[in-house]
Amino acid sequence: MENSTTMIGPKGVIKRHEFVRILIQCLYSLGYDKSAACLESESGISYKSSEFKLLESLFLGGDWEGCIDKLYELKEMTDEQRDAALFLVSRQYFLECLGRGNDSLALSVLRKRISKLQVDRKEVHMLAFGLFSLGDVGWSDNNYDSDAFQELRSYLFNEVEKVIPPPITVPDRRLEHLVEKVVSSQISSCIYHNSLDQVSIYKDHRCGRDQIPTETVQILSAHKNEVWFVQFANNGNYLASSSSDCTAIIWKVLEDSKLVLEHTLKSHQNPVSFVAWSPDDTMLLTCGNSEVLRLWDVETGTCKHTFGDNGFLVSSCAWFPDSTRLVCGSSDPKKGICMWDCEGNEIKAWRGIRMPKISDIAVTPNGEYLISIFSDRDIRILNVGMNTERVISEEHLITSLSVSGDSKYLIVSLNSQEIHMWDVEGNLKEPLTYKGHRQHKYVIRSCFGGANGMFIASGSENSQVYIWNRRISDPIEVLSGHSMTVNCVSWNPKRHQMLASASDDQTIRIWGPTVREEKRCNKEL
Amino acid sequence: MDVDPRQYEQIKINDKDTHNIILSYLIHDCYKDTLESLVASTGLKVSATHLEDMEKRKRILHFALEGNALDAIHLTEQMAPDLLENNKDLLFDLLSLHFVELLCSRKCTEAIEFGKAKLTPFGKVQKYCEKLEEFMGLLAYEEPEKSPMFHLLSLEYRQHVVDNLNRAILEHARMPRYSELERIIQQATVVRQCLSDELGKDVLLPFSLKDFLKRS
Repeated sequence: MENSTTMIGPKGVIKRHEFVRILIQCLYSLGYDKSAACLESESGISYKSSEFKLLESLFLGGDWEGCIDKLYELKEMTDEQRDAALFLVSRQYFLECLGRGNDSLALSVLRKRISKLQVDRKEVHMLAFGLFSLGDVGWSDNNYDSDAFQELRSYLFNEVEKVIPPPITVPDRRLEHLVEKVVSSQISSCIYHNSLDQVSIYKDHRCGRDQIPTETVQILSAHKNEVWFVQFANNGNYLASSSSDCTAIIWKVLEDSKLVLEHTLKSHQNPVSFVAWSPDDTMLLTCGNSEVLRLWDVETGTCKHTFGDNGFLVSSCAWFPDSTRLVCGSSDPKKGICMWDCEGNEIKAWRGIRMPKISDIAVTPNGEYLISIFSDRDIRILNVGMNTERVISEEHLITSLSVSGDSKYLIVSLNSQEIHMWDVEGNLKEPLTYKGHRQHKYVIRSCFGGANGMFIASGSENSQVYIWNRRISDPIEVLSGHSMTVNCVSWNPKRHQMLASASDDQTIRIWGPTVREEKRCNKEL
Repeated sequence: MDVDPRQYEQIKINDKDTHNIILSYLIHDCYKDTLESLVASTGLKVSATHLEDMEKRKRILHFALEGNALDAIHLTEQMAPDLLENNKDLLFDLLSLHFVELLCSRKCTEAIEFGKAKLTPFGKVQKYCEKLEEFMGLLAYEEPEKSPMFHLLSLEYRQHVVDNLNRAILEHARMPRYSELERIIQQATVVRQCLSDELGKDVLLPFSLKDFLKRS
């Protein structure tokens, strides 16, 4: 028999006896009954404590009074736990009496054993009801045989086990729980963690920076002027970019992650500052600060519709998840926010004095919230279904708005050189902030990215791209390559290691993970 | 604001009205002996059938108040055959009075039998389920007086059921459910309350009949 006070582990904080017991439990739960029994006999440690085994045999044998007495004897239980267990035992006692037609004993059990317990009164009254009609307590009017009782008793005893505390019992799946806790904690503190795969428990988990984009893998130079906006399609297979050269370009992402030009969208008269992919990626919206809103077909690259006219200036736009409704915000205070369908019919509009200049607009991917930036400093979050809204007022000018893929968070870039993250539902009283980049004069945009949306990327006026892990307010990577201000970034939603950046230097850079030396050598050979 | 009591003197009251008010009250609450006295003193007329009905009603209510709901039900059915049929709520309340009576006399097996036979059928209708649960729940307690539902055993509760029964029987006989006296007091209270609310004076306490009568 093991000495209960022997310790294991280098720090000596774990009791050997407990460790073996949870090992035995683990073997049983994995289905290795023979091994489990073998370990029990070899170690002399039993998975079920002797008190527990006694309780079990009393319960399964239907010795209710004995079982109840035993529960009163156990010292390691709180009154609450004891009453919960007593209730389960007494209730089965009561129901079996009823089932056998022994009404007077059942009544006595109800009154003497159950009624006095600290349990929900409604449960007690429901049982009283059972004296009148068995059907209502889940039993039909058949006569019950002992086999049916036996099965029920086994099932119920598992419920009893759950309310009895350690050390009499061991919490379910304890070893798995402990290991998972450690692994989760390691993943949480892994700042470069950028995948949804399982991790190995052979080593302590820690990703290296090769998990995130850190170097230029391609430079796209098709634009003839400053590139102001980039965004990947939702399926990650295309990239759209727009420029002060008055065009937008759709690029295709090939199998090997190289991008090629697919369509050049020409017909705007002025710089195009914003594009938006429809959720089903079949259509693209383009607009500019002094421009109308155009809807393009992605496959053919043709313009399907133009919204508004020279008098109607759309600053930004967003889609609803059904890909049939879009909203746009205008920099003209009188126009407010309009919702259209793809044919140009107006569905709804929010106008009026309370609708000042809108500079940015977004819809959460689940379609529940419409978020807009108005008067340059206020974030208005509208719950579309309930038509309720709340406003967050920032102190500095907001230059971009992005929403996370899980619809729970939003980030805004401020010209005070900070990015603020708020939660959509409104539980955060203070925002989370991210700093390190440069932003004073221009519109610089930021975005979410990575496998779980765990990263934030932003452009910067010092021509670099900045990457943060959401948990840390200082950047984890600063990417150099562009020669002028980086205006906008977009992280590929499906290829988690691909990032695109748009710059005043007229190029778009595609960033990928650093390829390790050995791999690079192998490739060259 | 309070009306100057001297203004009351401007209103003349008819003797006949006063007598009728008192009469209707006595009939409503079955005060047979007092009624006969009043009739003798004032020379008012009350028909024999009225008196007979009042006597019957009195017996019914008395049984119910004592807890003898079965006799009360039986007599009610004799006097007003379809009344309880059309008034299931009342029937339920009366049956449950009997149930409670059995429990209090510690006749548990009888109570269970009675409950199974008479009360559980009501359980098919949603609105009775909660009440049914409360009554059934009383069984779980060796001393029902100490249960959370002890109010179901109280005299107040029985009185409440009896009042409902009384009003139902009166209505059935096309007599007023509320006596004139009750109506007058109710009206005065509501009107005073309305006035207070309208004038919006927080300084005015809610209308208290007792205080009002004391003052006058």
